[in-house]
Amino acid sequence: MAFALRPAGTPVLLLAACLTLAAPRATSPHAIVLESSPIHDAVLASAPELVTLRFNSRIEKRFTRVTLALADQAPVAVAVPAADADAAPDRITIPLGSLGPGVYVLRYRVLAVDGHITEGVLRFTVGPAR
Amino acid sequence: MTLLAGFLDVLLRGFGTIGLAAAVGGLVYLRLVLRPPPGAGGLVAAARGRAVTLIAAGALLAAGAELLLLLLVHPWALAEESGRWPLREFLTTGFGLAGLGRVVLALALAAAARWMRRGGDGAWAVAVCLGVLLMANAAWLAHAVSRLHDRGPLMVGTVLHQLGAVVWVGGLLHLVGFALLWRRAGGPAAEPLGLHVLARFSAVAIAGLVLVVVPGIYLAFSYVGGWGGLVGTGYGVMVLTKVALLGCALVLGGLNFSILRRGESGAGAIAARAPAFIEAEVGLGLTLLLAAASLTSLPPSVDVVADRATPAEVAARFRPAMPRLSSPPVGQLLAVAAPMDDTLAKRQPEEYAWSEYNHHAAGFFVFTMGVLALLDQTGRARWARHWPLGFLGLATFMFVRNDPRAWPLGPAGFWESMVLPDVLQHRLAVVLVVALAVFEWLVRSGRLTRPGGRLVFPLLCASGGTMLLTHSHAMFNLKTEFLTEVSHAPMGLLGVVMAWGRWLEIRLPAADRRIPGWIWAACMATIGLILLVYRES
Repeated sequence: MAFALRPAGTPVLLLAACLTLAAPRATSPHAIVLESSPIHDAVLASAPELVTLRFNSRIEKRFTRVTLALADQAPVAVAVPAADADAAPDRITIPLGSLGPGVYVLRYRVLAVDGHITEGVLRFTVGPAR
Repeated sequence: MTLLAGFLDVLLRGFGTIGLAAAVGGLVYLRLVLRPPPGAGGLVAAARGRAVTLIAAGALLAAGAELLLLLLVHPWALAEESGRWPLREFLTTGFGLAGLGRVVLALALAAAARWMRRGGDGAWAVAVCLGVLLMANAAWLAHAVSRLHDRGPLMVGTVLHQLGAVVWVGGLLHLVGFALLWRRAGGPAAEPLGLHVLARFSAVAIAGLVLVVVPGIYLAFSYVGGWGGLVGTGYGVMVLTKVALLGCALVLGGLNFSILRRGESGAGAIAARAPAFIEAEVGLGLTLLLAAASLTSLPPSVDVVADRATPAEVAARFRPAMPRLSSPPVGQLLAVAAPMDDTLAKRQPEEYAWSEYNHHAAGFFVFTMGVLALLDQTGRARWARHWPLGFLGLATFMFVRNDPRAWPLGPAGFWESMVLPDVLQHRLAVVLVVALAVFEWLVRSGRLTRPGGRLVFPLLCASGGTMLLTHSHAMFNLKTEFLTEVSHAPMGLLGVVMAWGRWLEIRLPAADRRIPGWIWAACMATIGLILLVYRES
């Protein structure tokens, strides 16, 4: 008896197509912030010099990208110094420079060591709450 | 951009694991299940040839998926403000190097499989070494590598857990190919060897499942932490979903095992039933691998403390309530809704009301179709066989009401809104629903009689169920979003059970079709009921 392979039938092709359509879960914040200084929505009497984020994962720090926006103004890129690479693997320290009063929105994008990319946001107010 | 990259990341990780299952699981299958006895006939030779082809294909799939991740998805998602992709820097990270390692090993395994086909000396030993290295390499691509504590034990536990899944699901994939060949060869009457192959696979599958479960329990304790994390976080609910899928697969495996124990006297029955059970089990296994890939994108429950829901809050989402009979106007919704690209914005009450109305209307369609399908099962209401036409109404409703900010109701154009994973997933779902309607109505009205055509409905249902299990709006771990999504898991699970129930109804001998027929129809009605009581606030 011959055992020549038949061409893949309709069901097999459909299964392949269906698996392509069955898109797994859209990204979630895989690496989440466990602790931050200042905390989200903090109202501070004086401007912080640094923002510190502690994650639940080891972070590939050289890929960290941070922007800071005052109120409705355009966001400005903030450099995360390479020296921070020597600190704890789950912490990122971001120098802010001198900030005036206002509501600030800091957005970050980090790469976890396991290859997952996460975006997040930290909002804080300098000066009296509005 | 990060959202879409995350979507592709999980998809490619899932396909990579399926490829690994076909390749490495195939090596185990070839050595332990498909051993050629002295004087083996053409069936074993053909089956071994097919297995080697599938091993090579699996290895190429694993390599291809990883290459796309490394060269395209991640560098694109990590692009700098200038638009430059940091490809070289990314490839020198631990993840990049481990990924390159997988690519090289998988390509080498594909070459070794080709060598095996030619009967080269030492090809088998080389292939086994490559398989072992591929599994070990997986430790550096898993979530465990990023953990701060117990990193080593978690990496080892993950590899053992994955090895069990690869042996089990990969073996099943190969067994489907074997069962088809066996049946074509005349079944047990012509080739009694097939019974021994099935029996040997049962032993290998049990060993694989032990490897899945034992390290899996350790990983669950480490990542979930306790009962609160199991029911109150997205990660915990996905773990429960995986356990439920595994339970369903075990039921099918147990049924196969029991018919095999009947021995030679029931050989005809085995040949008639075993392939159907194996096919359904492989479907559940593939869904499990995709769900596992999806799980890795979620933060472990032990890390989600402030945003954890209580069991009472979760139970409240399933408490029956009157469905919404009206929806907020589009204008009112657009006035309060955040821009589509603001993925971090909080959803407003009007958005919840809009979504609840959508789910309740969808529930009306699905529940009605489920009841009609149950009526059809009784054989006393022939007119009820036209129930698939209800899917057309559902598809139209879903397409129009997908997202009020996107075409045709909102300002964002059709293509502009396609880059958002949520919108893209909903539109893919509309295509699936239309296909469900067309194919199943053609089958039930007698217009489509080809065997392959009858299987379209269960395959699409399996895809829909998997999509629902792995579908998420952004920020799943936040408590409110988790509570919004929590009913999707049981609906996805029911969708997958419905799919493989219908598959069994089609593939089993006529005398065995009654129970799976009732099960899938009941699952559809239950999905409709869950949708009717769905709530987000």
